[in-house]
Amino acid sequence: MENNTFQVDRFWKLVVRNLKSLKKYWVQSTLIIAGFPLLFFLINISPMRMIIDLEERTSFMFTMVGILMIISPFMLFFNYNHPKKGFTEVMLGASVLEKYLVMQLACLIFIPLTTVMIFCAMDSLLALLIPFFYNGFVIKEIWQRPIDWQEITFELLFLQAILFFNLLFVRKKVLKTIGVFILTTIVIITAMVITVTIWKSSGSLELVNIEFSLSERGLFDINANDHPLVVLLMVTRIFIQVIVPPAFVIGSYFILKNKRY
Amino acid sequence: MIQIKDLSFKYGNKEVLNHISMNLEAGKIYGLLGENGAGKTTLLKIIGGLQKPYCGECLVCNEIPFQRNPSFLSRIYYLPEETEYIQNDCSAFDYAKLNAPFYPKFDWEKFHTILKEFDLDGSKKLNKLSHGQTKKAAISFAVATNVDLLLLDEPSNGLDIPSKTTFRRIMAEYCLDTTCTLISTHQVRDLENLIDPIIILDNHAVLLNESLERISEKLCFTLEISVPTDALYAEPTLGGYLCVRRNEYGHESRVNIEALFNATMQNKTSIYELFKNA
Repeated sequence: MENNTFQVDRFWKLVVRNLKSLKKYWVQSTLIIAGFPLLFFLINISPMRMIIDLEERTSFMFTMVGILMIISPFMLFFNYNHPKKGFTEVMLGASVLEKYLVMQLACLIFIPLTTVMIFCAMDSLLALLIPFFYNGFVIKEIWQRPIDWQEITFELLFLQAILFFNLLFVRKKVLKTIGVFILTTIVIITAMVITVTIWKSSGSLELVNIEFSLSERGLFDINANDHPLVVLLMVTRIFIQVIVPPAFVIGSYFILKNKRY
Repeated sequence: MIQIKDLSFKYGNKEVLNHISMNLEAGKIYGLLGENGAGKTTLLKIIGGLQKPYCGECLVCNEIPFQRNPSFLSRIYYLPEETEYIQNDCSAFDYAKLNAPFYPKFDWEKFHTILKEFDLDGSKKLNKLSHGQTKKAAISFAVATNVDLLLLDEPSNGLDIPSKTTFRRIMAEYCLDTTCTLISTHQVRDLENLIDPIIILDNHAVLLNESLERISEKLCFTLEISVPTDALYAEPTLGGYLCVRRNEYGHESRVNIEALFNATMQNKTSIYELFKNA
Protein backbone atom coordinates (compact mmCIF):
# COMPACT_ATOMS: atom_id res chain seq x y z
CA MET A 1 0.00 0.00 0.00
CA GLU A 2 1.45 3.32 -1.10
CA ASN A 3 1.98 5.95 1.59
CA ASN A 4 0.00 8.93 0.39
CA THR A 5 1.30 11.36 3.01
CA PHE A 6 5.07 11.20 2.80
CA GLN A 7 7.65 9.02 1.09
CA VAL A 8 11.34 9.83 1.11
CA ASP A 9 12.04 8.73 -2.49
CA ARG A 10 9.05 10.68 -3.82
CA PHE A 11 10.11 13.73 -1.83
CA TRP A 12 13.65 13.43 -3.16
CA LYS A 13 12.35 13.14 -6.74
CA LEU A 14 10.41 16.35 -6.17
CA VAL A 15 13.46 18.13 -4.74
CA VAL A 16 15.52 17.13 -7.78
CA ARG A 17 12.71 18.20 -10.13
CA ASN A 18 12.50 21.58 -8.47
CA LEU A 19 16.23 22.16 -8.65
CA LYS A 20 16.28 21.19 -12.33
CA SER A 21 13.15 23.10 -13.33
CA LEU A 22 14.50 26.26 -11.70
CA LYS A 23 17.84 25.92 -13.47
CA LYS A 24 17.37 29.20 -15.29
CA TYR A 25 16.56 30.95 -12.02
CA TRP A 26 19.64 29.50 -10.28
CA VAL A 27 21.94 30.70 -13.09
CA GLN A 28 20.42 34.18 -13.08
CA SER A 29 20.50 34.56 -9.31
CA THR A 30 24.08 33.25 -9.11
CA LEU A 31 25.15 36.03 -11.45
CA ILE A 32 23.17 38.65 -9.51
CA ILE A 33 24.41 37.48 -6.09
CA ALA A 34 27.99 37.36 -7.40
CA GLY A 35 27.55 41.02 -8.29
CA PHE A 36 26.64 42.03 -4.71
CA PRO A 37 30.22 42.09 -3.26
CA LEU A 38 31.38 43.99 -6.32
CA LEU A 39 28.51 46.45 -5.96
CA PHE A 40 29.31 46.92 -2.29
CA PHE A 41 32.95 47.58 -3.17
CA LEU A 42 32.06 50.16 -5.83
CA ILE A 43 29.57 51.97 -3.57
CA ASN A 44 31.93 52.20 -0.62
CA ILE A 45 35.32 52.81 -2.12
CA SER A 46 36.47 56.41 -2.19
CA PRO A 47 39.78 58.30 -1.79
CA MET A 48 38.67 59.09 1.78
CA ARG A 49 37.98 55.49 2.58
CA MET A 50 40.41 52.88 1.32
CA ILE A 51 39.24 49.91 3.37
CA ILE A 52 36.00 48.03 2.72
CA ASP A 53 35.10 47.15 6.29
CA LEU A 54 34.64 43.47 7.07
CA GLU A 55 31.87 44.10 9.58
CA GLU A 56 29.89 46.16 7.05
CA ARG A 57 30.40 43.58 4.29
CA THR A 58 29.12 40.81 6.55
CA SER A 59 26.09 42.87 7.58
CA PHE A 60 25.40 43.65 3.93
CA MET A 61 25.53 39.94 3.07
CA PHE A 62 23.12 39.00 5.86
CA THR A 63 20.73 41.76 4.77
CA MET A 64 20.83 40.40 1.21
CA VAL A 65 20.26 36.84 2.48
CA GLY A 66 17.24 38.06 4.46
CA ILE A 67 15.74 39.99 1.55
CA LEU A 68 16.24 37.16 -0.96
CA MET A 69 14.83 34.60 1.47
CA ILE A 70 11.75 36.71 2.17
CA ILE A 71 10.92 37.33 -1.49
CA SER A 72 11.91 33.83 -2.65
CA PRO A 73 8.30 32.46 -2.77
CA PHE A 74 7.51 35.10 -5.39
CA MET A 75 10.64 34.24 -7.36
CA LEU A 76 10.34 30.45 -7.22
CA PHE A 77 6.65 29.65 -6.90
CA PHE A 78 4.87 32.61 -8.47
CA ASN A 79 2.66 30.50 -10.79
CA TYR A 80 1.94 27.70 -8.34
CA ASN A 81 -1.72 28.67 -7.87
CA HIS A 82 -2.28 30.11 -11.34
CA PRO A 83 -5.59 28.74 -12.75
CA LYS A 84 -3.82 27.56 -15.91
CA LYS A 85 -0.07 27.64 -15.34
CA GLY A 86 -0.32 25.81 -12.03
CA PHE A 87 -1.62 22.51 -13.50
CA THR A 88 1.78 20.85 -13.88
CA GLU A 89 2.66 21.30 -10.23
CA VAL A 90 -0.69 20.33 -8.78
CA MET A 91 -1.02 17.23 -11.00
CA LEU A 92 2.44 15.88 -10.15
CA GLY A 93 2.31 12.52 -8.41
CA ALA A 94 3.43 13.71 -4.99
CA SER A 95 1.52 14.52 -1.82
CA VAL A 96 0.56 18.04 -0.75
CA LEU A 97 2.86 17.69 2.26
CA GLU A 98 5.81 16.79 0.04
CA LYS A 99 5.11 19.70 -2.30
CA TYR A 100 4.80 22.06 0.65
CA LEU A 101 8.02 20.83 2.26
CA VAL A 102 9.89 21.32 -1.01
CA MET A 103 8.66 24.93 -1.03
CA GLN A 104 9.90 25.48 2.52
CA LEU A 105 13.18 23.73 1.78
CA ALA A 106 13.86 25.90 -1.26
CA CYS A 107 13.04 29.17 0.53
CA LEU A 108 14.51 28.37 3.96
CA ILE A 109 17.61 26.38 3.02
CA PHE A 110 18.51 26.56 -0.66
CA ILE A 111 18.16 30.30 -1.16
CA PRO A 112 20.04 31.45 1.99
CA LEU A 113 22.71 28.78 1.53
CA THR A 114 23.34 29.61 -2.14
CA THR A 115 23.41 33.34 -1.38
CA VAL A 116 25.95 32.91 1.43
CA MET A 117 28.11 30.55 -0.66
CA ILE A 118 28.18 32.74 -3.78
CA PHE A 119 28.65 35.96 -1.82
CA CYS A 120 31.51 34.51 0.23
CA ALA A 121 33.18 33.05 -2.87
CA MET A 122 33.06 36.39 -4.68
CA ASP A 123 34.13 38.33 -1.58
CA SER A 124 37.08 35.98 -1.07
CA LEU A 125 38.07 36.36 -4.69
CA LEU A 126 38.02 40.16 -4.42
CA ALA A 127 39.92 40.06 -1.13
CA LEU A 128 42.61 37.92 -2.76
CA LEU A 129 42.83 40.02 -5.92
CA ILE A 130 42.87 43.43 -4.21
CA PRO A 131 43.92 42.68 -0.62
CA PHE A 132 44.85 46.31 0.16
CA PHE A 133 41.15 47.29 0.15
CA TYR A 134 40.01 44.41 2.33
CA ASN A 135 40.64 43.76 6.01
CA GLY A 136 39.56 40.11 6.10
CA PHE A 137 37.24 37.51 4.65
CA VAL A 138 33.47 37.43 5.17
CA ILE A 139 33.56 33.62 5.14
CA LYS A 140 35.70 33.74 8.31
CA GLU A 141 33.71 36.52 9.95
CA ILE A 142 30.29 34.80 9.70
CA TRP A 143 31.37 32.09 12.17
CA GLN A 144 32.48 34.65 14.75
CA ARG A 145 29.39 36.79 14.56
CA PRO A 146 26.72 36.25 17.26
CA ILE A 147 23.42 34.95 15.95
CA ASP A 148 20.70 37.58 16.01
CA TRP A 149 17.66 35.46 16.88
CA GLN A 150 15.40 38.48 16.90
CA GLU A 151 16.25 39.24 13.26
CA ILE A 152 15.99 35.59 12.22
CA THR A 153 12.57 35.31 13.85
CA PHE A 154 11.30 38.34 11.95
CA GLU A 155 12.73 37.08 8.66
CA LEU A 156 11.02 33.73 9.19
CA LEU A 157 7.77 35.46 10.02
CA PHE A 158 7.95 37.51 6.83
CA LEU A 159 8.90 34.46 4.76
CA GLN A 160 5.90 32.50 6.04
CA ALA A 161 3.66 35.51 5.40
CA ILE A 162 4.93 35.89 1.81
CA LEU A 163 4.57 32.15 1.21
CA PHE A 164 0.99 32.34 2.46
CA PHE A 165 0.02 35.40 0.40
CA ASN A 166 1.75 33.98 -2.68
CA LEU A 167 -0.62 31.03 -2.45
CA LEU A 168 -3.65 33.04 -1.37
CA PHE A 169 -3.62 35.71 -4.08
CA VAL A 170 -3.84 34.70 -7.72
CA ARG A 171 -3.48 38.01 -9.54
CA LYS A 172 -1.48 41.15 -8.62
CA LYS A 173 -0.11 39.18 -5.69
CA VAL A 174 2.91 41.42 -4.98
CA LEU A 175 0.81 44.58 -4.82
CA LYS A 176 -1.87 42.89 -2.71
CA THR A 177 0.76 41.51 -0.30
CA ILE A 178 2.33 44.93 0.17
CA GLY A 179 -1.18 46.31 0.71
CA VAL A 180 -1.90 43.72 3.40
CA PHE A 181 1.36 44.53 5.21
CA ILE A 182 0.61 48.25 5.20
CA LEU A 183 -2.95 47.66 6.35
CA THR A 184 -1.86 45.29 9.13
CA THR A 185 0.70 47.81 10.40
CA ILE A 186 -1.95 50.56 10.44
CA VAL A 187 -4.42 48.28 12.25
CA ILE A 188 -1.87 47.26 14.92
CA ILE A 189 -0.76 50.86 15.55
CA THR A 190 -4.36 52.09 15.66
CA ALA A 191 -5.35 49.31 18.06
CA MET A 192 -2.45 50.18 20.37
CA VAL A 193 -3.24 53.91 20.27
CA ILE A 194 -6.92 53.24 21.03
CA THR A 195 -5.99 50.91 23.92
CA VAL A 196 -3.63 53.48 25.43
CA THR A 197 -6.21 56.27 25.00
CA ILE A 198 -8.90 54.20 26.73
CA TRP A 199 -6.54 53.29 29.56
CA LYS A 200 -5.50 56.91 29.94
CA SER A 201 -9.07 58.27 29.99
CA SER A 202 -10.19 55.67 32.54
CA GLY A 203 -7.30 56.74 34.77
CA SER A 204 -5.77 53.25 34.91
CA LEU A 205 -2.64 54.29 33.07
CA GLU A 206 -0.06 56.50 34.63
CA LEU A 207 2.21 57.99 31.97
CA VAL A 208 5.81 58.03 33.13
CA ASN A 209 9.17 57.95 31.37
CA ILE A 210 9.94 54.30 30.69
CA GLU A 211 13.45 53.05 30.02
CA PHE A 212 12.65 50.01 27.96
CA SER A 213 13.99 48.17 24.93
CA LEU A 214 12.22 45.13 23.42
CA SER A 215 15.47 43.66 22.14
CA GLU A 216 16.91 43.50 25.66
CA ARG A 217 14.04 41.36 26.89
CA GLY A 218 13.49 37.64 26.32
CA LEU A 219 10.32 36.70 24.46
CA PHE A 220 8.35 35.64 27.55
CA ASP A 221 10.24 37.86 29.98
CA ILE A 222 7.25 39.76 31.41
CA ASN A 223 7.62 40.92 35.02
CA ALA A 224 4.77 41.46 37.48
CA ASN A 225 5.80 45.07 38.15
CA ASP A 226 6.12 46.00 34.44
CA HIS A 227 4.33 49.10 33.24
CA PRO A 228 1.07 48.25 31.36
CA LEU A 229 2.54 49.72 28.15
CA VAL A 230 5.51 47.36 28.40
CA VAL A 231 3.16 44.44 28.95
CA LEU A 232 1.12 45.50 25.93
CA LEU A 233 4.23 45.62 23.73
CA MET A 234 5.48 42.27 25.04
CA VAL A 235 2.12 40.59 24.47
CA THR A 236 1.95 42.03 20.95
CA ARG A 237 5.42 40.67 20.25
CA ILE A 238 4.48 37.22 21.57
CA PHE A 239 1.40 37.26 19.33
CA ILE A 240 3.41 38.26 16.23
CA GLN A 241 6.30 35.87 16.84
CA VAL A 242 4.57 32.85 18.35
CA ILE A 243 0.98 32.76 17.12
CA VAL A 244 1.21 34.31 13.65
CA PRO A 245 4.00 32.18 12.00
CA PRO A 246 2.33 28.78 12.71
CA ALA A 247 -0.96 30.29 11.51
CA PHE A 248 0.70 31.18 8.20
CA VAL A 249 2.31 27.71 7.95
CA ILE A 250 -1.01 25.95 8.55
CA GLY A 251 -2.83 28.41 6.28
CA SER A 252 -0.42 27.85 3.35
CA TYR A 253 -0.75 24.08 3.68
CA PHE A 254 -4.54 24.38 3.85
CA ILE A 255 -4.63 26.52 0.67
CA LEU A 256 -2.40 24.05 -1.19
CA LYS A 257 -4.57 21.15 -0.08
CA ASN A 258 -7.87 22.74 -1.04
CA LYS A 259 -6.97 24.89 -4.02
CA ARG A 260 -9.44 24.51 -6.90
CA TYR A 261 -8.34 25.10 -10.47
CA MET B 1 -12.64 2.86 -13.69
CA ILE B 2 -14.81 5.97 -13.08
CA GLN B 3 -18.01 5.92 -11.07
CA ILE B 4 -20.02 9.13 -10.96
CA LYS B 5 -23.18 9.12 -8.91
CA ASP B 6 -25.63 11.96 -8.55
CA LEU B 7 -22.87 14.52 -9.00
CA SER B 8 -23.66 18.25 -8.99
CA PHE B 9 -21.41 21.24 -9.37
CA LYS B 10 -21.91 24.99 -9.05
CA TYR B 11 -19.77 28.04 -9.71
CA GLY B 12 -21.24 30.35 -7.07
CA ASN B 13 -24.97 30.20 -7.70
CA LYS B 14 -24.59 29.09 -11.30
CA GLU B 15 -25.35 25.42 -11.69
CA VAL B 16 -22.97 23.68 -14.09
CA LEU B 17 -23.67 19.99 -13.53
CA ASN B 18 -26.96 18.74 -12.17
CA HIS B 19 -27.14 15.29 -10.55
CA ILE B 20 -25.28 13.43 -13.27
CA SER B 21 -24.44 9.75 -13.05
CA MET B 22 -22.30 7.55 -15.29
CA ASN B 23 -19.76 4.74 -15.25
CA LEU B 24 -16.73 4.72 -17.52
CA GLU B 25 -14.70 1.61 -18.22
CA ALA B 26 -11.05 0.93 -18.98
CA GLY B 27 -9.95 0.23 -22.55
CA LYS B 28 -12.35 2.67 -24.19
CA ILE B 29 -11.98 6.10 -25.74
CA TYR B 30 -14.98 8.15 -24.66
CA GLY B 31 -16.03 11.22 -26.60
CA LEU B 32 -17.51 13.91 -24.38
CA LEU B 33 -19.66 16.24 -26.46
CA GLY B 34 -21.75 19.23 -25.55
CA GLU B 35 -22.47 22.82 -26.41
CA ASN B 36 -20.41 25.67 -24.95
CA GLY B 37 -20.98 25.89 -21.20
CA ALA B 38 -22.48 22.42 -20.94
CA GLY B 39 -19.88 21.53 -18.28
CA LYS B 40 -17.45 19.34 -20.24
CA THR B 41 -14.27 20.94 -18.92
CA THR B 42 -15.71 21.14 -15.41
CA LEU B 43 -16.49 17.43 -15.50
CA LEU B 44 -12.94 16.65 -16.66
CA LYS B 45 -11.56 18.84 -13.86
CA ILE B 46 -13.68 17.07 -11.25
CA ILE B 47 -12.52 13.68 -12.51
CA GLY B 48 -8.93 14.96 -12.54
CA GLY B 49 -9.15 16.24 -8.95
CA LEU B 50 -8.86 19.92 -9.85
CA GLN B 51 -12.38 20.76 -8.74
CA LYS B 52 -14.53 19.53 -5.87
CA PRO B 53 -18.13 18.46 -6.55
CA TYR B 54 -20.87 20.43 -4.83
CA CYS B 55 -22.59 17.17 -3.95
CA GLY B 56 -22.67 13.58 -5.11
CA GLU B 57 -19.87 11.11 -5.58
CA CYS B 58 -17.02 10.75 -8.03
CA LEU B 59 -14.65 7.80 -7.68
CA VAL B 60 -11.69 7.22 -9.98
CA CYS B 61 -9.83 3.93 -9.51
CA ASN B 62 -11.68 3.75 -6.17
CA GLU B 63 -10.15 7.02 -5.01
CA ILE B 64 -11.71 10.43 -4.40
CA PRO B 65 -9.99 12.65 -6.99
CA PHE B 66 -10.01 15.89 -4.98
CA GLN B 67 -7.88 14.28 -2.27
CA ARG B 68 -5.11 14.37 -4.91
CA ASN B 69 -3.29 11.41 -3.42
CA PRO B 70 0.01 10.51 -5.12
CA SER B 71 -1.39 7.02 -5.81
CA PHE B 72 -4.19 8.70 -7.79
CA LEU B 73 -2.14 11.43 -9.47
CA SER B 74 0.44 8.96 -10.80
CA ARG B 75 -2.34 7.06 -12.54
CA ILE B 76 -4.01 9.93 -14.37
CA TYR B 77 -2.99 12.64 -16.82
CA TYR B 78 -5.05 15.72 -17.61
CA LEU B 79 -4.25 17.61 -20.80
CA PRO B 80 -5.96 21.03 -20.68
CA GLU B 81 -7.08 22.88 -23.80
CA GLU B 82 -4.54 25.66 -23.25
CA THR B 83 -0.88 24.72 -23.15
CA GLU B 84 0.07 27.54 -20.75
CA TYR B 85 0.67 24.97 -18.02
CA ILE B 86 3.78 23.74 -19.79
CA GLN B 87 6.99 25.35 -18.63
CA ASN B 88 8.06 26.75 -21.97
CA ASP B 89 11.64 27.78 -21.36
CA CYS B 90 12.74 24.18 -21.85
CA SER B 91 12.57 21.62 -24.65
CA ALA B 92 10.04 18.79 -24.93
CA PHE B 93 12.79 16.37 -23.89
CA ASP B 94 13.67 18.47 -20.83
CA TYR B 95 10.01 18.77 -19.90
CA ALA B 96 9.66 15.00 -20.11
CA LYS B 97 12.85 14.45 -18.10
CA LEU B 98 11.48 16.68 -15.35
CA ASN B 99 8.02 15.14 -15.14
CA ALA B 100 8.34 11.53 -16.37
CA PRO B 101 9.72 10.24 -13.02
CA PHE B 102 6.28 10.88 -11.51
CA TYR B 103 4.59 8.48 -13.96
CA PRO B 104 5.78 4.94 -13.18
CA LYS B 105 4.73 3.53 -16.56
CA PHE B 106 6.21 6.35 -18.67
CA ASP B 107 7.55 4.94 -21.95
CA TRP B 108 10.49 6.91 -23.38
CA GLU B 109 10.53 4.94 -26.62
CA LYS B 110 6.87 5.72 -27.17
CA PHE B 111 7.50 9.39 -26.42
CA HIS B 112 10.29 9.60 -29.02
CA THR B 113 8.23 7.68 -31.59
CA ILE B 114 5.17 9.93 -31.18
CA LEU B 115 7.29 13.09 -31.43
CA LYS B 116 8.77 11.67 -34.62
CA GLU B 117 5.32 10.84 -36.00
CA PHE B 118 4.27 14.43 -35.30
CA ASP B 119 7.46 15.52 -37.07
CA LEU B 120 8.51 17.48 -33.99
CA ASP B 121 12.04 18.25 -32.87
CA GLY B 122 12.05 17.38 -29.18
CA SER B 123 15.24 19.29 -28.50
CA LYS B 124 13.79 22.64 -29.58
CA LYS B 125 12.71 24.99 -26.80
CA LEU B 126 8.94 25.02 -26.38
CA ASN B 127 8.78 28.83 -26.47
CA LYS B 128 10.25 28.66 -29.97
CA LEU B 129 7.39 26.41 -31.15
CA SER B 130 3.95 27.40 -32.40
CA HIS B 131 0.81 26.71 -30.35
CA GLY B 132 0.05 23.64 -32.49
CA GLN B 133 3.56 22.26 -32.09
CA THR B 134 3.47 22.78 -28.30
CA LYS B 135 0.16 20.92 -28.29
CA LYS B 136 1.77 18.04 -30.18
CA ALA B 137 4.56 17.87 -27.60
CA ALA B 138 1.95 17.87 -24.81
CA ILE B 139 -0.05 15.09 -26.52
CA SER B 140 3.14 13.03 -27.01
CA PHE B 141 3.95 13.33 -23.32
CA ALA B 142 0.37 12.58 -22.26
CA VAL B 143 0.14 9.37 -24.33
CA ALA B 144 3.64 8.22 -23.30
CA THR B 145 2.72 8.40 -19.60
CA ASN B 146 0.72 5.16 -20.08
CA VAL B 147 -1.57 6.17 -17.25
CA ASP B 148 -4.82 4.40 -16.43
CA LEU B 149 -6.91 7.49 -17.09
CA LEU B 150 -6.20 10.02 -19.80
CA LEU B 151 -8.28 13.20 -19.80
CA LEU B 152 -7.96 15.28 -22.95
CA ASP B 153 -9.70 18.64 -23.27
CA GLU B 154 -10.10 19.70 -26.92
CA PRO B 155 -6.87 17.94 -27.96
CA SER B 156 -7.32 18.58 -31.69
CA ASN B 157 -7.71 22.37 -31.27
CA GLY B 158 -4.76 24.11 -32.84
CA LEU B 159 -3.57 21.07 -34.81
CA ASP B 160 -3.22 21.35 -38.58
CA ILE B 161 -5.09 18.91 -40.85
CA PRO B 162 -2.31 16.29 -41.26
CA SER B 163 -1.62 16.42 -37.52
CA LYS B 164 -5.28 15.70 -36.77
CA THR B 165 -4.97 12.50 -38.79
CA THR B 166 -1.72 11.66 -36.99
CA PHE B 167 -3.41 12.36 -33.66
CA ARG B 168 -6.21 9.89 -34.44
CA ARG B 169 -3.69 7.26 -35.49
CA ILE B 170 -1.56 7.80 -32.39
CA MET B 171 -4.53 7.53 -30.07
CA ALA B 172 -5.74 4.36 -31.75
CA GLU B 173 -2.28 2.80 -31.89
CA TYR B 174 -0.57 3.83 -28.67
CA CYS B 175 -3.29 4.06 -26.03
CA LEU B 176 -3.12 0.96 -23.86
CA ASP B 177 -6.03 -1.47 -23.57
CA THR B 178 -6.00 -0.77 -19.85
CA THR B 179 -6.35 2.98 -20.30
CA CYS B 180 -9.65 4.79 -20.11
CA THR B 181 -9.50 7.87 -22.31
CA LEU B 182 -12.00 10.69 -22.05
CA ILE B 183 -11.84 13.28 -24.82
CA SER B 184 -13.87 16.46 -24.61
CA THR B 185 -14.36 18.09 -27.98
CA HIS B 186 -16.35 20.34 -30.25
CA GLN B 187 -14.51 19.09 -33.30
CA VAL B 188 -16.37 15.79 -33.69
CA ARG B 189 -15.20 15.34 -37.29
CA ASP B 190 -11.60 15.34 -36.06
CA LEU B 191 -12.30 12.39 -33.83
CA GLU B 192 -14.63 10.33 -36.01
CA ASN B 193 -13.57 6.68 -36.11
CA LEU B 194 -11.78 7.17 -32.80
CA ILE B 195 -14.28 7.87 -30.06
CA ASP B 196 -16.65 5.18 -28.88
CA PRO B 197 -18.79 5.42 -26.70
CA ILE B 198 -20.28 8.88 -27.01
CA ILE B 199 -21.36 11.00 -24.04
CA ILE B 200 -23.50 14.07 -24.71
CA LEU B 201 -23.87 16.63 -21.95
CA ASP B 202 -26.72 19.08 -22.11
CA ASN B 203 -28.52 21.36 -19.70
CA HIS B 204 -25.90 20.28 -17.20
CA ALA B 205 -27.01 16.64 -17.40
CA VAL B 206 -26.05 13.50 -19.34
CA LEU B 207 -28.36 13.23 -22.33
CA LEU B 208 -26.68 10.25 -23.92
CA ASN B 209 -23.98 7.78 -22.91
CA GLU B 210 -23.98 4.95 -25.43
CA SER B 211 -21.62 2.94 -27.62
CA LEU B 212 -21.70 3.46 -31.38
CA GLU B 213 -23.10 -0.05 -31.76
CA ARG B 214 -26.06 0.75 -29.53
CA ILE B 215 -26.59 4.08 -31.24
CA SER B 216 -26.71 2.43 -34.67
CA GLU B 217 -29.16 -0.12 -33.30
CA LYS B 218 -31.52 2.65 -32.26
CA LEU B 219 -30.91 5.27 -34.94
CA CYS B 220 -30.15 5.09 -38.61
CA PHE B 221 -28.17 7.64 -40.59
CA THR B 222 -29.16 7.71 -44.24
CA LEU B 223 -28.83 9.87 -47.32
CA GLU B 224 -32.27 10.72 -48.73
CA ILE B 225 -33.40 12.73 -51.76
CA SER B 226 -36.08 14.47 -49.68
CA VAL B 227 -36.64 14.81 -45.95
CA PRO B 228 -38.74 11.89 -44.64
CA THR B 229 -41.66 12.78 -42.35
CA ASP B 230 -40.28 10.65 -39.50
CA ALA B 231 -36.80 12.23 -39.62
CA LEU B 232 -35.51 13.36 -36.23
CA TYR B 233 -32.95 15.50 -37.95
CA ALA B 234 -32.03 16.34 -41.53
CA GLU B 235 -29.34 18.49 -43.05
CA PRO B 236 -28.80 19.29 -46.72
CA THR B 237 -25.71 17.70 -48.17
CA LEU B 238 -24.33 16.83 -51.59
CA GLY B 239 -26.82 14.55 -53.31
CA GLY B 240 -29.72 15.10 -50.91
CA TYR B 241 -30.25 15.15 -47.17
CA LEU B 242 -28.39 13.44 -44.38
CA CYS B 243 -31.21 12.15 -42.18
CA VAL B 244 -31.32 10.70 -38.69
CA ARG B 245 -34.30 8.46 -37.96
CA ARG B 246 -35.38 5.87 -35.49
CA ASN B 247 -34.02 2.53 -36.62
CA GLU B 248 -37.31 0.64 -36.61
CA TYR B 249 -36.36 -1.96 -39.22
CA GLY B 250 -32.86 -2.86 -38.04
CA HIS B 251 -30.99 -1.05 -40.83
CA GLU B 252 -27.23 -1.03 -40.54
CA SER B 253 -25.72 2.41 -40.94
CA ARG B 254 -22.56 4.24 -39.99
CA VAL B 255 -23.03 6.71 -37.12
CA ASN B 256 -22.36 10.28 -38.17
CA ILE B 257 -21.36 11.84 -34.85
CA GLU B 258 -22.04 15.42 -35.91
CA ALA B 259 -25.52 14.51 -37.15
CA LEU B 260 -26.10 12.51 -33.97
CA PHE B 261 -25.14 15.50 -31.85
CA ASN B 262 -27.41 17.86 -33.81
CA ALA B 263 -30.27 15.34 -33.76
CA THR B 264 -29.87 14.96 -30.00
CA MET B 265 -29.83 18.73 -29.46
CA GLN B 266 -33.03 19.13 -31.53
CA ASN B 267 -34.88 16.15 -30.01
CA LYS B 268 -33.58 16.01 -26.47
CA THR B 269 -36.58 14.33 -24.87
CA SER B 270 -37.22 11.76 -27.60
CA ILE B 271 -33.53 10.75 -27.87
CA TYR B 272 -33.26 10.56 -24.08
CA GLU B 273 -36.41 8.43 -23.89
CA LEU B 274 -35.32 6.24 -26.83
CA PHE B 275 -32.13 5.17 -25.09
CA LYS B 276 -33.55 5.23 -21.59
CA ASN B 277 -36.24 2.75 -22.46
CA ALA B 278 -33.92 0.49 -24.40
